[in-house]
Amino acid sequence: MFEHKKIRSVFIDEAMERILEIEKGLLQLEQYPDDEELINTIFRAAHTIKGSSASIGLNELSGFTHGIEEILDLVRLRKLIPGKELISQLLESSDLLKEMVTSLASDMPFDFTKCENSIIRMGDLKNKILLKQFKIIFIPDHHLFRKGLDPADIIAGLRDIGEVTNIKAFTDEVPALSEISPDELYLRWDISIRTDRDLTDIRKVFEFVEEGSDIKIFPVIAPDQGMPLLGQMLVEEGTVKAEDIAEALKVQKRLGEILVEHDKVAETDIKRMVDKQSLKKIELFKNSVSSTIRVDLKKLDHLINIVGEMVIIHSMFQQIIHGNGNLKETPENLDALFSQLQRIGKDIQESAMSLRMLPVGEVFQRFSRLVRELSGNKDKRVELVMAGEETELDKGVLEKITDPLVHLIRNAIDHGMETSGERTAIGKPPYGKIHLIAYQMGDSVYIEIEDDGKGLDREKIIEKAIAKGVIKDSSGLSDDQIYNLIFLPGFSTADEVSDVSGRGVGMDVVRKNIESLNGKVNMHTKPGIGTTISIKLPLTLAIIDGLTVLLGNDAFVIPITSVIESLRPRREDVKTLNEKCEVINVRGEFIPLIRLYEQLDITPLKKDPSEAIVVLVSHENKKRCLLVDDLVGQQQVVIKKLGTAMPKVFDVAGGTILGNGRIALVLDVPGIIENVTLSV
Amino acid sequence: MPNILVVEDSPTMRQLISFAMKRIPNSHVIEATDGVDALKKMSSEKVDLILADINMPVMDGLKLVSLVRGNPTYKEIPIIIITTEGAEEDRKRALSIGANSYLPKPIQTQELIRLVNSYLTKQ
Repeated sequence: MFEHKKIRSVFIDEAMERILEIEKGLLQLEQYPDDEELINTIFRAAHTIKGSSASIGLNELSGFTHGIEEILDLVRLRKLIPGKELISQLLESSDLLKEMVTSLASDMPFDFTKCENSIIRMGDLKNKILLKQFKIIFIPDHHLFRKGLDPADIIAGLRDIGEVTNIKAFTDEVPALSEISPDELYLRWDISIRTDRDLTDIRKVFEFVEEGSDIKIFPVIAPDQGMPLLGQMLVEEGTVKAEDIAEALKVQKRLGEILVEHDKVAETDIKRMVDKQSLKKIELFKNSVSSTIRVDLKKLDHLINIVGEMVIIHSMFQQIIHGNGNLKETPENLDALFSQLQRIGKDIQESAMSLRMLPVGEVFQRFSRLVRELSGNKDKRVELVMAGEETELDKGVLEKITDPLVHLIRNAIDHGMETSGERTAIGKPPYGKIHLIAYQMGDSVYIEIEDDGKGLDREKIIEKAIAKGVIKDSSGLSDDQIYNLIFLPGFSTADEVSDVSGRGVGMDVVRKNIESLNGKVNMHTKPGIGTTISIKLPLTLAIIDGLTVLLGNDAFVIPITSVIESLRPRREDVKTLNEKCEVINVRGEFIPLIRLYEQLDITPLKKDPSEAIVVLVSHENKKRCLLVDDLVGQQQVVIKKLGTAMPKVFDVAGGTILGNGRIALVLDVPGIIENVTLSV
Repeated sequence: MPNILVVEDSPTMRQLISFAMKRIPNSHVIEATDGVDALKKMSSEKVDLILADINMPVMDGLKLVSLVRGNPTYKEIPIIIITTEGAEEDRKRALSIGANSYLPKPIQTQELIRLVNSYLTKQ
């Protein structure tokens, strides 16, 4: 029973990963339909899922995957061309597959009747697509009849090997009735045929008439051969010009618009449904996040390696303590051992942390799907370009950053991008581009979302900010400061709620989410050229560099990212404004003083700033001086949560254990700065 | 103590086979994810029997069979190929280039144990 469960959980992990591979591959295949290696990878992923699921008795899942595999096999053998219809169908099937595996993971039964439609459509795809289309131009020998041959036999021969979809006889060479010779052939034909045979088989039909005739056979490659598009057929036949089709397609309306026009449904209902539809897409997208973690074997091996070294150190210490080896208890020996221990400790810490690190690509690759579906809803064509997918981020951070990224990307498509028509009109390429870039710099990871849309409207923001009472006027604000106003609560420039974004969840939520990860978000925009949103995130949440300070009998840790400097002010630099607000003059800049002991309700050893220490901290350009008794030093600390038994504790981000074994609280600097209202 | 080298790119299949092999007394399973990995493992550990999948990335099972058979040190090691149901072509090719036997997917545990046992006792 245990074995069964274990194998099943391995399968779930594997299948999920493979499904993502299939999904990513399919999306790439749309752009590079000829990439053999890509097709092989997707095929192999489906093949593996099929094989392993069958071996552990998941017959329905295996059977369904077999259907997907068959189509991929045909693509691999070049019998199918991966057009939009085919890729959409396969994406839908891989979604179902994902649902099956998800319900397997949560031990819920899966309703396989859900797959029926998909199975039927995949079957259709397979049957139709096996057929290839050929166009034949047949200009027969004028003397064909004299040879005892009949072109009608040729046509009949073609009908034997496939479906003749179009025959057009050209009569332009037929002379006047008086000049007609009954044994001369004046006609020529254009024939289209759909067949599963090869070109050589078709040529064989013409074997006897080849001499003296002009026969041209060429394969017609349509995006989806199964269903030739009406427009294409008309153009092929020469009935309609390609430009006219393009013109007609432009005025073609969406289902929703038609229904509204015929008064079958209110426009608001359509909007609401489209809204619901995209919500559903996003919901589906979110559900695909797994709670297990896959670790690169190299990382694990490295960790085990270091632990091995640790064991050696342990036995060396044992020798020294028990005096039963060559190692004697000399200061040099102890010193050497101690420094080795220190190195190994640091190694283990780094190595253990790296186990939690995942490449951002795991989240990124799902965005291409999102962009494809969201931009399909509107008259916008958007291409997502990703870079730096290999950049690693803590799994916890990665999971929490997914939602804000979804929101930002949605925003970029909805508010940032112009429609293709608008773009063409202003000389931009009809395809909009969103760049999603990740890179590491120092202890931070940066994720940038850059679009080439219309940029933010500076005047509109100012107008809105004044209307909402966020600012009084725009004087003295830099452009960047104005653009970043949109991150303030209750700020939304979209006048109407739209189907993709602007559902009342504003940019302030995005900012809050990112800041809860100790991250920062910034926005730059150039009107008409585009907008870049840059998110800065710490590599990990669990370990921070902290400045340990003393206050009363307790030690506290201030995250070093918030600290600018620490100093002991001179007595004359401590001032009181309006007899209320205390400030410290730091080289000419007056910075408000927060007496931490009042805030934390502690009896301090020193109350006079000129005898104690002030730590200058900042958060979002707001600077404050925190009054503490003394400094201990800077060290890395592991933040632990306070636990659920505690009510919400203000001003404290968590707890940690110091080098001396004592517990210290980690201060929440942004919280303190927000909570202490200054009575100026 | 027979060492059984399982060459499979699917972790599920590796796990499944490893569990099955536990029922063969004293046997020890060495896992490899593809042909290249298998050859690497073989150079550092003695292998008594190879169970290999055909369709794998980097180096597939057929290539592995021909390389193992072409190497004087390894050429006597029995190889059982795991094939997809109905893949007659692959099966024939594997046998023709020197695989000893084959096992179709989905794997039947009893059949797998019987087959492996029969080759281990032959040695």
